[in-house]
Amino acid sequence: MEWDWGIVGRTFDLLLLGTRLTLVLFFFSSLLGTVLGLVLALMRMSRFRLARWSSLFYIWVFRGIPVLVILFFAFFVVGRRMGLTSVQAGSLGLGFSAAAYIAEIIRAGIMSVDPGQSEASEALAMTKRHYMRRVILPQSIRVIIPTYMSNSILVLKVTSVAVAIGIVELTGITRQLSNSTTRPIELFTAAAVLYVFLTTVIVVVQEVLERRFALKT
Amino acid sequence: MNALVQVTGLRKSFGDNEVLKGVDFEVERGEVVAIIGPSGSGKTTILRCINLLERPTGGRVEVDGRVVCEELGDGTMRFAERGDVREIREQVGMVFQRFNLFPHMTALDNITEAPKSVRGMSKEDANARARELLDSVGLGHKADAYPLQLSGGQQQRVAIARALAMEPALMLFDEVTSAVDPELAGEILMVMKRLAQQGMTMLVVTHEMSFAADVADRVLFIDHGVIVEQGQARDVLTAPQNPRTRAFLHAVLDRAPMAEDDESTAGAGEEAGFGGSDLFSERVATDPEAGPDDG
Repeated sequence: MEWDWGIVGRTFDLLLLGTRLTLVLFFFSSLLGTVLGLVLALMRMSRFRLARWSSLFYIWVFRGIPVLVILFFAFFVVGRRMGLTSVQAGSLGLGFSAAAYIAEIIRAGIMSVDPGQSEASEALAMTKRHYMRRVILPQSIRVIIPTYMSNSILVLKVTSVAVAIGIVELTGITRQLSNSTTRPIELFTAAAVLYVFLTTVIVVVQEVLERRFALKT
Repeated sequence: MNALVQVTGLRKSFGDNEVLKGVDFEVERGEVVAIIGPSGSGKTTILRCINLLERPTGGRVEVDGRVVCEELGDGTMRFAERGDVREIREQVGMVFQRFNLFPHMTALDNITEAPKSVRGMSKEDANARARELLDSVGLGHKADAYPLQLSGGQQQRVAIARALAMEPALMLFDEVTSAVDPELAGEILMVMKRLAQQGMTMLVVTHEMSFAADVADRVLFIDHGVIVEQGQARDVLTAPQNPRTRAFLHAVLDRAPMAEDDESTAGAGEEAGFGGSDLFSERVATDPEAGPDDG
């Protein structure tokens, strides 16, 4: 069989269109996942039992269900009822799923901060709200970054599951193109390279952030 | 006027382990009280019960006429409301064994954070006050340094300045020289001694016997969660009545006997010492007695 790498060049515009949609899903699910994850993490460490239990329940449920099933729920149940587009429903489902993992990553980061830090803050009469924001969270970020960014790579790649609810992101467009051109090897190789490129960007961002948040010694 | 700190029947258990078994003492305004005793005797827990970093399981604590906690008739504890606890904590500065400076903030920001957020001080006022305090602990030139760029002795002096920035009525010192290299303990003790001379009320958990002898008005000897002996510092340290106090002092002082007229932590850095930091550090470096080995 002959290779035809020219097919990649001829379909590149479409592949980029798919990549764009992948990035849209990644952006909105990361945003939702991070905001919700932070709230869940703080709830799990709250002094109110109800908050702790709801957070625990959420994390238990959403980590227990496959992303694909969550996505079907988001699309067929939530999306249809609220009249969402498939991309909106997809972002919602992926974001709700990511939040459960991000919550645990943030909680681990917060717990890694020396208890002496909150004791010193308490002794200085600061409110918990204040010292969480100014003392604990800034220090936990250093610990959160590596795990969070590693999780981001997973979040990026798992957007490919959105193909199941009809979103033509990078994996979806590649599959359609390979069906119509009978060049799956070339096209999926191109898709793989694009995915690796995107994850490389995440790795570079991680490196930059780690330097930025390193403690000054 | 009432004593600044009144502790009555203070008890604290961690699970089945009763660390404090009924402790009574008072600290008058302007008084320096040293708490000494073997490790695990409950010294640190006493301090932490005063600003409610630990919640006592029995007894009563009062600071400046305000009830921190009290045991009710049925044996349950009533604690000050959250807002009241914060107001009490504004009155009570604490310095920790392991400094607990905020490592992501400069020395200056460490000091200004609480005055700005808790007391609503303007940034300019807080900065100006913080620089004064840094000067007074001999670290005026380290305002922009981060904690990990400082020696243990310097970090602890920043921590003292941080606590003082809240203008507390009482300072709690929890073995503040135990985590620094011996040759750096002297610079911390000098700051504390000067603070005592300025009339600060201080409750000091310490292993520095010569500091206790030199600076403290009174000494409490704690063992197994009770005050075994208390009295004038000189009396307790040089003529202990209780056999357990004698055994403890013997064990501690055996390693480095305490001279009757010990001037070691007293002498250095007194008159001019803290004004210029260069002069200050030079004095520490060249004063062979500035270390804690003397006690």
